[in-house]
Amino acid sequence: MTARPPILQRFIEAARGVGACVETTSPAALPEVVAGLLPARGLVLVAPEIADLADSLSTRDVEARVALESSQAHESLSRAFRRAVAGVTPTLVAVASSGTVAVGPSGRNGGLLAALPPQHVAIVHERDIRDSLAEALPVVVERSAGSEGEAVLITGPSRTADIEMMSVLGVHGPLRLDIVVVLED
Amino acid sequence: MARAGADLAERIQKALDDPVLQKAMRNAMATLYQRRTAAWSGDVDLEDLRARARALKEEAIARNDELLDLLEERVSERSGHLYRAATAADATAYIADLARARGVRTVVKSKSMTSEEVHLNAALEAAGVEVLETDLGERIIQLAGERPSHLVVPAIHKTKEDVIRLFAETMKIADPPTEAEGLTRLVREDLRARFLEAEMGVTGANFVVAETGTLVLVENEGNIRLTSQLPPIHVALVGREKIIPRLADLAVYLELLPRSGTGQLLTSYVSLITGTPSTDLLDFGGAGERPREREFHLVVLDNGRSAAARDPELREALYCIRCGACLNACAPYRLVGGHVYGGDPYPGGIGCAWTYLTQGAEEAKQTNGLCTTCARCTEVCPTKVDIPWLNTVIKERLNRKLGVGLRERVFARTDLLGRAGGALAPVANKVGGSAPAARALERMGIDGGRQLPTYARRSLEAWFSARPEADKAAIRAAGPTPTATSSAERTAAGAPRVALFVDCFVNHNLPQVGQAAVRVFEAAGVQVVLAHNSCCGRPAVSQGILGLPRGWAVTNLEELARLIGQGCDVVCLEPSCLSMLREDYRRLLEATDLADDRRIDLIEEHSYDVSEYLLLMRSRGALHLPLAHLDDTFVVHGHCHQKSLGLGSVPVDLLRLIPGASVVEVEALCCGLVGSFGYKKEYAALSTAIGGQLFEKLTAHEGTIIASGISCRSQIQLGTGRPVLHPVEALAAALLV
Ligand code: SF4
Ligand code: SF4
Repeated sequence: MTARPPILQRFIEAARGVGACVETTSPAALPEVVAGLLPARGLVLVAPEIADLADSLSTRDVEARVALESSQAHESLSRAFRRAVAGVTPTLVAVASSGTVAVGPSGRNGGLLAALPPQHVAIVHERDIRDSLAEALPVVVERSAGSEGEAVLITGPSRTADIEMMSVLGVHGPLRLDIVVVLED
Repeated sequence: MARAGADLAERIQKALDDPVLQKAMRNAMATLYQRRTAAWSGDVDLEDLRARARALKEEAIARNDELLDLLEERVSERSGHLYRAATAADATAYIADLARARGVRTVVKSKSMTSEEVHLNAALEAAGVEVLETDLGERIIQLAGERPSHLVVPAIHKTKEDVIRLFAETMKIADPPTEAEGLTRLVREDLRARFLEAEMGVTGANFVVAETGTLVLVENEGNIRLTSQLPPIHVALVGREKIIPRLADLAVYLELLPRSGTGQLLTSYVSLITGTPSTDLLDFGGAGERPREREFHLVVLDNGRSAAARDPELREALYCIRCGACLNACAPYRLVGGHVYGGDPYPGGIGCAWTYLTQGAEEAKQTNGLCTTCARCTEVCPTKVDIPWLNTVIKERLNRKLGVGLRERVFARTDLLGRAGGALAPVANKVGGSAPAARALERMGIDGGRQLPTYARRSLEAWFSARPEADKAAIRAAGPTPTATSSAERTAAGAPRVALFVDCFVNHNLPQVGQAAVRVFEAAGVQVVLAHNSCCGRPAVSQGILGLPRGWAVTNLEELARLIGQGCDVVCLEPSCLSMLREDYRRLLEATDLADDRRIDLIEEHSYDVSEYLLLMRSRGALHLPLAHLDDTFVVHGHCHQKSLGLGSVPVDLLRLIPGASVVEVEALCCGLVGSFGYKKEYAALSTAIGGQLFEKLTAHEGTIIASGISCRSQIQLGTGRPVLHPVEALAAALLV
């Protein structure tokens, strides 16, 4: 008889099981941990709701900007998306049983941040992890209510098995999914 | 009819002889089937979820009109456009006109069977628009100029070598990558630029939620997300059966769909799209002027669906959520692949129903015959779609439209054949195996190379009634009752009583199986009577002949209810008969005044498979058989109907009661004969090939081969040259009395 592992542990195992990389951090160390996951060079786009993370990343030698058209006059957002090496987004909720994170439509361009660049970094708060999909779905609905656009449940990186059922990561979506769980203080 | 049959036979033969297809299908099917089996576990009660999914779909289809109205309101509230397309032509015209009006040059498309159904790509190309499939499998199919052959994995019939060759030719690459990863990356790079410049994205949807107007899209690659978000115009083309009432119901479907389809707990992405995207409209600098406004169009397709929703027999097909699990469990599909079906674009057993309701009877004709109605798919379908019954109903309608062949009439009457064959047994058996007979059979469309069943001189019924009274009385005192509500409780006498359902084949061809059952029951102190039943109806039903078996079902209700009333439980030796009694009588009588007859429930409750019944007696402590120690090995083939009844393990468990015996169960799909399927000329080669896979596995073991089905038995005997026993015969052989 083994005890049921705590929900955080189950989430981490399930997310790793589907090919995501998972780190945990204290709130204070978040920028440090995210910076450590990013490639040495290249533009990092950050969702508008966590604009302050873009600032903290910039102070750590990461080229980072907020993913809004208006945020930087000298480069259009489409150009920025073309060369971005990673997108960083918050999440609405996470699911322990399947290792899923949900990215909402509320932050403008959140969906594209988790779709276009080769790497997606998703920030999850420990308190937002739910046991099952059945418990998480109402949270997705509630937290994205009123906003138009795409809420997406993400379970591991983009993948395919269309050639001889061989599993390949990274088709049209991100090749790499990092999940950073911010632990309660 | 004959010509179509010949075409089909050719296509089947070609598929069977194609080593590339055979290799691709063998690998892919085994992988998908195993992944689904492995994923069929977890913290959730999946059988309960299946029941809920079924009920939710029934509700959604019953309320389809009302939900469509609600959906239309929701979509327009969010400044989207909903278009009701009555036909395929309406749908393609709307989308092509829209593309033309907005000056669209390039459309990126995600995988959608509905768009294949209406031939959208051809319509857009005719309007001068370039269409790019973006799902890897669909892209492969598009470059090859083919059609998808599976609901979920469109290029399942291709090997890696095929893809390498194809990319080299069509993308003009001298030195293409040789691994799946490199080939995938190549497509990513090739299509990324096209995503950025496309003016229109066309997707399907897995579900559309009426109360919120939300599209739900389930995928792994991420191409659907780019297709729906990057281009200024998003068009979603969905069949109207995809509408579900509530967002809250989604959890049930999402637990089932990926598990059933690809064996994943959840796919990489599940997008819930409500209204037009809030993302900035990015201009990546395509060739010309780009539309400046975001637009969302939801095209809801009817094309036969609302007629099906009103049709109590075909409605079933609309519960399909297109997971593909039934294909992966289907022996004929696994061997020939989707293209042989010719159903455009829906392959497999469920594809026949979809072809029938979207394209009509003519198109469904060939596909229909490829479903043996073995029912293996019903075990795996997440919404419990009764595919074999759908195909039976369609077969009946085709019969009515096109007439019933002589061959089909003959196969329908196993009862008459049995009586006549038995009386003339020595002659009939000789004629059945002679050269002139083979030629006559060929002319009827029956494979001349097949051995027709041989007839016993004395039927089970004749043997039973001729037994000395002493035998019948020599029944030991009864043990405790087998089931709480079963016979013994209902009789004053206290002895459990069994009424053997007399099936045509056991009665006339293999009375020894019935004799063995009588011996076993009597040794266990159970009194046996024979039911005076008519044919269960299975052989006729599988020819799409429903009138006759309806009549037989009525007589059988009468007779079996009488026996049950007298304290008997009904026991079947052939699982195909049992599945008629337990499952299909309800469907057969659905459209008659007997639909609500209580006797249908009574018979469902009190009918058993012989192995199941003996095990039930044992679990109640009521089975005490004096059994010899046997050093034999039993190699067991599972019967399709037995499995679909949830009784897959009973023969194995029963044989394990024999001291010293070892029991091996082989993992295979189907014997391939399935009643008359293997006797029909156009399917003979396929039947043999299906059997071949089973024979390989069976003959890998020494020992006695066991099969519960009479047609499995003859197929296996023919294919392996080894004798085959029914589990109850093996048990009887171990009796010490
Ligand atoms: S009943 Fe059998 S043959 Fe027909 S679709 Fe289902 S698995 Fe295939
Ligand atoms: S019929 Fe059932 S198993 Fe087959 S594709 Fe539809 S939902 Fe899946």
